[in-house]
Amino acid sequence: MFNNAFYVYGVVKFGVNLELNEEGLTGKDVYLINNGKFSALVHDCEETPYTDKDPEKIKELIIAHNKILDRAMEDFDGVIPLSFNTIIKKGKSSARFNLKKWLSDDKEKLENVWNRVKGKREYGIRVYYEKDKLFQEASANKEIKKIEASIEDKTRGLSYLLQGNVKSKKQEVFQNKVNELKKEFYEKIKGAVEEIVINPSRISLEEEKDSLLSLSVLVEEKKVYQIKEILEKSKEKGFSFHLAGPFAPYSFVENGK
Amino acid sequence: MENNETGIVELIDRALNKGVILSADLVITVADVPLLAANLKLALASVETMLKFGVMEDLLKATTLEKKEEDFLISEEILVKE
Repeated sequence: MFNNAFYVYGVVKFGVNLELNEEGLTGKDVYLINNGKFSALVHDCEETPYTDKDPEKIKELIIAHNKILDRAMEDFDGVIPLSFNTIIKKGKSSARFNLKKWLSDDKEKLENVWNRVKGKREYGIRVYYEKDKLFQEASANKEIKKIEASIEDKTRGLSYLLQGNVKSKKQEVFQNKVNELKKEFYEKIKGAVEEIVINPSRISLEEEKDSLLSLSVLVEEKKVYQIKEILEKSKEKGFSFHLAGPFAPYSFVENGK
Repeated sequence: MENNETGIVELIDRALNKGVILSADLVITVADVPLLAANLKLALASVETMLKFGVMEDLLKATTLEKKEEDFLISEEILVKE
């Protein structure tokens, strides 16, 4: 009997069918379906996305998805992760046929992606700075001080205008400083990793501080210490950070580039 | 992956928004299931309770931050061109 559908966790370069002996979402047995050089990590399922009214249960599902990818990274020295809830359905052909056809049709793309991510891990880096401190530093700018000093002996009207100038100048100096810090930090990290992606920040992890930068980096595990060293040194300059991972290389597999 | 709250927020963000996306004719389209989308937003909100955000505050903050990052992305493009 044909399976209704397959939940697909990811793809590995491993040319045989195999039981993974690992439980995936909702305790399902995960195994490999092979076609050519590549195998998909799957479990049998219905053509229904995984969801739950309880957000905590959804969190558990996502963690289970990731557990399989973690295991694959260990066993196969890499994994091409698929987005959560990727379910291959049957159409005119069986779901198995569709899955194998995809592995075959996209083998060149998969090969490119595999070569890119093999043996590497993704980490997330969020960098924060203290806005007030930086603004005070920007306010100590010589040009600003000069304008401020000149305000004292001016008429009320002119003084008002100059104060406006001071305010916009402070903002300009502050923004330039922020951009300079971003560039400096980005360049430092870029030099220590294979690839780097700037993330749009959807979530702040430290509400009292301002987010300077959110990055995803692709790095060989043995080189992670270099990132940690850069981050430690940045602390001395007043930055703080979150380093999260290792993750499967989610940010480096999109569109089969 | 480290099983702490920070790591889980980062993981959820990636698992939902990144990774290989297959063509729609092969897969069940999750976007067609409104309940799922709503619950996933709640899942993200719930892991942020450690930050003592209300859901609305969170959404407002997220919008602001996204704008900031867009600004930086533009400046980053300029950097690359330079």
